[in-house]
Amino acid sequence: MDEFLQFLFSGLTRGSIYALVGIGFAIIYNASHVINFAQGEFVMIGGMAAVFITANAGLPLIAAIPLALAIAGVAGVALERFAVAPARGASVVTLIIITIGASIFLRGVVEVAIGKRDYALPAFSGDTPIRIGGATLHPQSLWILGTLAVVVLALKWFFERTRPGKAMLATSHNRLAAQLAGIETRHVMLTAFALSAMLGALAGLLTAPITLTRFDIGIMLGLKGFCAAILGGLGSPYGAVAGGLALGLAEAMTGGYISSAYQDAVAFAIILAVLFVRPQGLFGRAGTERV
Amino acid sequence: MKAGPPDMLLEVSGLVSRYGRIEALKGIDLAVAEGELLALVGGNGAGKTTLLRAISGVQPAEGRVRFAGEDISAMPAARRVRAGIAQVPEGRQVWGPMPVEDNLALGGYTRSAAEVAEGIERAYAMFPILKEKRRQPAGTLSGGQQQMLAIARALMSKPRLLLLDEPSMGLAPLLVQEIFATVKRLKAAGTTIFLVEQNASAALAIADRGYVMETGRITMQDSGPALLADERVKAAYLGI
Repeated sequence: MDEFLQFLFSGLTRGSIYALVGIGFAIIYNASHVINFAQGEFVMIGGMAAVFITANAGLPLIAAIPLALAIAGVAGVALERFAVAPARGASVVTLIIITIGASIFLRGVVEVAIGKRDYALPAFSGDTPIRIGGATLHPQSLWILGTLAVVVLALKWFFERTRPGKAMLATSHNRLAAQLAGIETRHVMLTAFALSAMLGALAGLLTAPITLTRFDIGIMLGLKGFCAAILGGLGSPYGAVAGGLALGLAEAMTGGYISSAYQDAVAFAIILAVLFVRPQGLFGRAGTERV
Repeated sequence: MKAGPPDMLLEVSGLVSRYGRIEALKGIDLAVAEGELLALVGGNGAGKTTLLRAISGVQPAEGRVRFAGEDISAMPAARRVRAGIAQVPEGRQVWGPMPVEDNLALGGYTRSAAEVAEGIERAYAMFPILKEKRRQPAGTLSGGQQQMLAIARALMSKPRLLLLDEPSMGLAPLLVQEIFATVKRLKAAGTTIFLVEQNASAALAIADRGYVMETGRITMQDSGPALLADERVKAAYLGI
């Protein structure tokens, strides 16, 4: 039982990270129908930027966090502006290849500019584990779970109550109608990329104290986030949250009860299973092809 | 009545648009006067929808579009809405998962909060059924109700020119009558309307002037009643 509780905590923690990354996939997919395979790099940029700022500029963590988020937001806008937007009208496969190229580029820039080794960020509120039942919980896990909850509520507010949020939603439901209503769909795209980048960076910042961070951490986290997003039905940010948590739990249980060697295989097995059996994801509506 | 040529609100000249190598518009010239109800009729694939999309700026086109005396040929779609052109697109295109009221509010995206609130009240007065269903997702409305919503949404931007693309398409005869009655009411209220219809007889019957379009060209133009009486139009579009 204690064992189970331990795996549960671990699964929810990593699941929350996947969820944050997955929400980013969903938001960009909604706004542009692009699957942004550079999403993982935003996770990396968040962690690495915070490490770089605290170590080199000597700023406290509390100042480094917003700065790192801003840097990621700028990277997201730049990705849209200089890589995705110029290819407007290209096929989805072309756009996906562009984002893969952008991710290799971003990874390379950070590798050269900061370095190849592992970096750690201090935990937000210490490393003293919290005992619950027979299991322990790292205080950072509470930050991660709490942040995910706040993000979900904030997104709900953004999409249901604010003008730019509704405009973004309208653009994803029907781009033509949005243009005809005078919504600047170009701005919507930029906002979506900035928002997704910042959510990814937030995941990177939160996880850096427990898993360390390095220039290529985004590859795996990006794939896990993608898995979360398609498990939840690509276009749905809340689906991505459910997908992320489910993936995290599945990984933790596999790692705990079967073998940690198979842990990373879970995401791939889920991706394949979803694509074969239920391409619309757990919560997505059955796909309609636009003609 | 004003003497001399009426003020042209919209002037289109030499408009050409292509889908790949296929020319959908082969040099369109037309004009809509302020306060006028203009009908454009023609068969499937004549290029009517392409023309409206080009006027709204959501379809690339060469040639010149002037609106209220200003050349808007290079203006992006969103700014054309601000300039006063609204379109009710073919197939209604409501935001299905969003509530009716949000559909209306976003229709007034270019307007202030006060104007949006006022516009929503006006829309509810015009189409009481929308008020009844204001919290329902727009996608759950019937075809006729969705068409009313699409029209009300376009009016939210307080357009000087309303482009209507096949508002009667796919509706039961009774609803078609209701939609055309609405169009007449809008005209009576002073809105300039450019109506594209396959239902040629109904459209020409309420129009001041009409154009006939065939494979990317304007082939005839006259007053609504004159076109309605024309033998060629009767044979081709009215099934008489």
